[in-house]
Amino acid sequence: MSTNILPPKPKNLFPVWLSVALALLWFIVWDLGVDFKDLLYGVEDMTEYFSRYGTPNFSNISSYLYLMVQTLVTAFWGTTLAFIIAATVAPYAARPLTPNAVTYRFARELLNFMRAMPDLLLALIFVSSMGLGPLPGVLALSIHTAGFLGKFFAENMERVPAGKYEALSAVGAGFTQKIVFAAWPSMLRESVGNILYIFDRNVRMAAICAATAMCIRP
Amino acid sequence: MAYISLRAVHKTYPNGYCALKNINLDIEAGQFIAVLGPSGAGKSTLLRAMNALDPATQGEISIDGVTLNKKNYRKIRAHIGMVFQQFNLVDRLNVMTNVLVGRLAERSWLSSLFYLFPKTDYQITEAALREVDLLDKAWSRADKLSGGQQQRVGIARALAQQPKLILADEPIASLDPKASEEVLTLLRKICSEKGITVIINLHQVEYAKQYADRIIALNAGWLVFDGSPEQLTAAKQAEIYGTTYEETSHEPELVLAHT
Repeated sequence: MSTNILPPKPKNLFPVWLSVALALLWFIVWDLGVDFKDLLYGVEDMTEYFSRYGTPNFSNISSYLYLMVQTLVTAFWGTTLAFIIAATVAPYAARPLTPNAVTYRFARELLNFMRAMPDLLLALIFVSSMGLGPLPGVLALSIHTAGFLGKFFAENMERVPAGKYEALSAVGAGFTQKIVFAAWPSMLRESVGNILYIFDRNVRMAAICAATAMCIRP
Repeated sequence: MAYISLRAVHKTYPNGYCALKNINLDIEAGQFIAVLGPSGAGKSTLLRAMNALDPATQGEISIDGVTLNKKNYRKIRAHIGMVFQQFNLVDRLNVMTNVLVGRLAERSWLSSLFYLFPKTDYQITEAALREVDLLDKAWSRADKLSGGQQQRVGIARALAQQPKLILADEPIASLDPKASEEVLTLLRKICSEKGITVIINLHQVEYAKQYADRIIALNAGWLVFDGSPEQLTAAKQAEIYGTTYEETSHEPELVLAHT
């Protein structure tokens, strides 16, 4: 019903939530006994460590370069395999595309499982079964990041306006055709960003996995 | 038997909202039919029930002698074109590919995976683009086109299905008056020249009277009018839109404003 009087402004609860969050944060700091003085004392040690970056040792340059390329290749293949797994699973984990509730649940839980398995742990499992080398690293990275990439893709697919899928349904298109003609062209930009992000983190993790595997070599 | 027949069709959405109530309709082939009614009257639901995008919850719909059931949805949709208010083109694909989408029902998933279409599909698509006068835009990206052009691509996509029926769900609601008339004239031409049945949802009574062979009106899910454009008097219009007779007869624009 229309009226001449402006209705009262709805209450804004943001300040309340902000104070609750700050109080919680303070409680956590107090409970954990975090002392910011320690950070100050630690600065000296940290600067000593970082100062060593100023005097690099190039005596073994060819082996460094080889290992750097190996790291990149490991990350590249890890990301490629992750993309293949993610692109296959994601449509089943996206509400507008999944054939039924069971496939949806299964695909979501599969992605959750892959994300929950830390790549370091996977790397150790594969190293113990296959021995040291880039291959166990590739497999570990691909399984773990397929979980992330699959979730990103599924969410991108859900963000595509429903009308695009409807238009495909209306011409009698099937499951794969909807993915190829509606989902991918519409979500290409975000997905390329997601893939580059995963490649970026895989380069870092490839180095860490390799270093860890070296340290605990049996 | 009529080309399309609806028998005691009801549609209740999962949230309990009843959008169509006991609709009985017979539609002859080759007609241009306008569906009128206020927002939320069930116009879209009626169209979407005919190609089972929103299947009817009760009653029976048959098209060309085939009764819709869960198993034949895809097969039936293959030859029913649909034109949307928001065009629903894939923005980043070119016009040609968007129209080729109309051929997908005939193609296997494997060839679709690689965007492969046989030569005949390209010929059908080319003919469809010539029909809507957009051959020059064939290789432009769909989102670079104006609203009116995008809607014509939508119509070309429907034509590429080689349909016997085109369902147009408020195809001009996002277009300016000039583009609206172009689109309506085009749909009318397709109907008259190719004998394709066109069922179109409209908000503009004037356009419905100008273009349609037959007008159907819904209100709150009930079929409240079914007749020729001449039979749709001002009093009938008032009934359809729930305004009083005086309002419509003195200020015809008011009807538009209310819709």
